[in-house]
Amino acid sequence: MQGDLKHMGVADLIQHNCEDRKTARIQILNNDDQATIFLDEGTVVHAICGEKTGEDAIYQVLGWREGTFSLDMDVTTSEKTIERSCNGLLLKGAQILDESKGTTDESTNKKEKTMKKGEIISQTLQELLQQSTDVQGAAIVGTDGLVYSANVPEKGLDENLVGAASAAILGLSRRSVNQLKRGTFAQTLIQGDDGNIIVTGLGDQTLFVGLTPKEVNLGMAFAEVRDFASKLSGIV
Amino acid sequence: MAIEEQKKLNQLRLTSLALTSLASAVWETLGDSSFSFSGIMGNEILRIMEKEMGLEIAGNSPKEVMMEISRIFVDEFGYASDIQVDGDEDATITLKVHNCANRHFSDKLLEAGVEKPFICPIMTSCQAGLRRMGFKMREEIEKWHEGGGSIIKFERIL
Repeated sequence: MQGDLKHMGVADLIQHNCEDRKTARIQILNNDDQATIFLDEGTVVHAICGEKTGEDAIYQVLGWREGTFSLDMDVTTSEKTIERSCNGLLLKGAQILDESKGTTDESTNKKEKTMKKGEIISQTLQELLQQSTDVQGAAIVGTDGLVYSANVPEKGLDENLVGAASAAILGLSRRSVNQLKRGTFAQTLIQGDDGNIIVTGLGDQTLFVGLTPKEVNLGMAFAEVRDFASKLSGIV
Repeated sequence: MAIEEQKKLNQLRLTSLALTSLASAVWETLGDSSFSFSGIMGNEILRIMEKEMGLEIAGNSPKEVMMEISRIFVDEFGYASDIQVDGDEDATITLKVHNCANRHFSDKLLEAGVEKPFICPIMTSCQAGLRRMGFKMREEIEKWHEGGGSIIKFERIL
């Protein structure tokens, strides 16, 4: 597959192929510059652009507005220089581009950025849940109880109460760990008859709530929640 | 035995003491997460404003709702001499509360170890109103010495 960046921008090209969970090599030509990006089942794993590799290469290419691209399916690489999720890369890239350009209309840009951030958080959460084997539902909540995004199987929940309870659990857990001198807070597990709730921090002002079924390998579930938290903290 | 006037004052002191102790205990236990209860408290205040004081949220912009809530606090509750609302829902809304009637209570909370007055009725009701309108904004509140009140800021995060 080949195309022109005038018809499909670099960000759209990457996002489209990530969403389709493609394994492919994307080569992009921009005058005398060339970049190569590798995707493995929808995850960006490696990129080269001139002397730059990894995320820096991606951020460089995201600024290209003209050029051509070609897509070769099922071409793989053993290199892995990128850990950040696809959406995380695109969001970070957009922020870097904004900063380098300067803001001509600060209010409009901020509005677009915050709206885009909300969409990216929701989409990333959905993608992570689709890939997950142990986590059935999840929510990202502020420490003030504000629900940033929620994707849970149960219907008819009071979002305000769920947010408040989750934030309270985190606050209480952190205080308990601190008061009882148990080091740094990692996560809280609540077990019910029908399943478990795992709560962990995503930085100072947000937290992640994961729901698992009753029959689950808790070690695997904890690992998966940590992986979720690591990927989401870069976006939130 | 105390006279009726003195009894009423004592009742107010007890209510104030109970509220201060409760807020202090919540803050001690939850820290910044104490703000998670602000929305629930704000919803109750909004309910009274809607039922008894003519507040309408649907169909209005966030800034309009903040201005109307502020008007009710000034005109109906006599809670402040003025509340100045600036900004817009696309980024930040700031409320400057002039001569807050409850500032001495806020000082008591501070003395009791509550670093941020998470039970401020103006902040909690505005926060609840914004959330009901679907605006995801983070709140900040700080003491405003010059104005004899506080500055409440809502910053859009999503």
